[in-house]
Amino acid sequence: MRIAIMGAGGLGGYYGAMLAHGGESVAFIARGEHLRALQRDGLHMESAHVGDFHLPQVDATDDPAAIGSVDVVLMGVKAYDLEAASEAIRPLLGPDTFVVPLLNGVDMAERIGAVLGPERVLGGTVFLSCNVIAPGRLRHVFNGPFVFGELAGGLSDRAGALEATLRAAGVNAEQSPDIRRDLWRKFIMVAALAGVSGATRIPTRAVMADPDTRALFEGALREGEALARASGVSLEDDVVARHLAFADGVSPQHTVSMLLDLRVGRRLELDVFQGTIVRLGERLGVPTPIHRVLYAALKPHVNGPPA
Amino acid sequence: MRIAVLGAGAIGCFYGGLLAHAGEDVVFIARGRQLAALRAEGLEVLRDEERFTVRPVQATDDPATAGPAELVLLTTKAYHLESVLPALRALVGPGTLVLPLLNGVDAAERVAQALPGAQVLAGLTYVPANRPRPGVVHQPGPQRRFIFGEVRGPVTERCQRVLAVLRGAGIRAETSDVMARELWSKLMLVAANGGVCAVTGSPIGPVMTDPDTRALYVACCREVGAVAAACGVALEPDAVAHTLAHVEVTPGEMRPSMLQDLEAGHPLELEAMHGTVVRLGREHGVPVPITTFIYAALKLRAGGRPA
Repeated sequence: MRIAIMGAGGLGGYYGAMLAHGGESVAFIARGEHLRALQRDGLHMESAHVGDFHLPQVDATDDPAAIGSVDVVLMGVKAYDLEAASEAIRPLLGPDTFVVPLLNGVDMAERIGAVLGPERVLGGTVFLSCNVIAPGRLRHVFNGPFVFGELAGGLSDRAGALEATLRAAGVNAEQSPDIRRDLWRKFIMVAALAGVSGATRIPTRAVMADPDTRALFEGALREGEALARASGVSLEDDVVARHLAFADGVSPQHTVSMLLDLRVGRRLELDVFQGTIVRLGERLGVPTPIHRVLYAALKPHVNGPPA
Repeated sequence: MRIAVLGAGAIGCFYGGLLAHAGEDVVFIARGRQLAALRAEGLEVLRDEERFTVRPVQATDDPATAGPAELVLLTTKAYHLESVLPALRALVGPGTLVLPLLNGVDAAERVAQALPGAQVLAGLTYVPANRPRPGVVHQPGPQRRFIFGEVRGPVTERCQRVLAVLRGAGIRAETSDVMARELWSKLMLVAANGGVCAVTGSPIGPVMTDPDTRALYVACCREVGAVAAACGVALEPDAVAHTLAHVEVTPGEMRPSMLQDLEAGHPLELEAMHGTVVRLGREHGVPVPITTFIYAALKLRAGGRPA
């Protein structure tokens, strides 16, 4: 399979590295220092799960037109770059090329589809953690699955082919017959935890330990659940209880990226989480008061610390 | 008048300094570096239009040697009230008036409960003051209102006696027949200012400009007003508008003390303000979702960072 990785950060870099390591034809689209390091010295992977390896030569560029058409594009850019990145990958599209987002959020595939056509996209969500620790160097820290599937539901040949290719390369990958449910199930958890941990500036375990912050988190989960159901997604009846149990079980160091971003003054993924929930709630008539205050509380930091 | 200032911070030193400067018999109960500075250097009061030094200053860390006073100005932080009660007991004799100027609505009740039989008034001040270093207090801008009276009911002769002393020292003091209303009106302002600026990490200007954070501010004001009403305290019908009008003329870079304390890792007056609104809201069945959110968001940082 010929695969392009648009946005070769932690996640894009991981899947591209694994596929290239497994002998697939992979092109990375990256920028800046990271791109120069990839071109000069290839890609270094540190992983306790799949073992360390070094790819001395990788195909890396900042110009999609130099790559030609591919079978699959894995979209690893940040949500706020999504429309521009979708435009930029047009030169990669052949008649059957499809795109799979690796981003957080419930409407990423729809947003890509709005630019390139809905038939071009699968839904996708990633339960894996891999960070760029230095230009050209990745550290893989958590090996959850990459789940993807047709937005209309059901299994498809193209998703099956991607699943087979990823698995042959040693990737934890899974075609889902109901990707929207998988997306929403993860989204309500990640959005609630990002918002509450961000607004309170305390890590996950502390949020769960105090009854007031825990109630805030549970309320945020319930708003997400109501929104998923109003969107026609059939979540399990006990989805909130399961998410609470998951958050109770995380390690004491567990810190969501929203809180890490706040601590160092980076741009926030607020629009992906609270912004989307508030907008969808308004459209569907579902009240989301907790996510609304989380949104307001974090908004002054959305582009970095306020003056 | 023999006056003891219990809580030799910025507010206590400002009013105590004016009173001592006017020739009243003022003793400051202080500790540590503040006590050492007051004893060695006296008390320096800096204002826009004047500066003066009171020297020598009566200052002690042993309230038993200072009492009983005719008037005790209680000017600690709200969260220190319990811990200064023994000192207060030592300062109070049969004829002593206690005038608390603490944030929150129940300081006078708490003092009266702890010291049965003591003569307790209710009071508050809007004056901004800070302590640039031990022994020095700075009061920027014009003097703001200092309002006091009986905890319940109209002003009495003992209030008039205190008023004459305060006015004689150039303090912009006034009495009120409805102190509960005055305390709740101030709580509306400081809970919204402090709470919204602290949870957003932003000074007041941007908070009031952005529609989302402004909505948070207005909702917090309304909730405080609703809880006051449920507690039998009718605020002015335009109390929220009045608070907003007050904020409109506040310089945009103003950082409420709750925000400054949060950033400096100092304890917050959260229990006296938002904690009280949440508790009373629950008792009276008044929903206060925004204040509950502010309380939860700040609660785990309200104790300050360990030194």
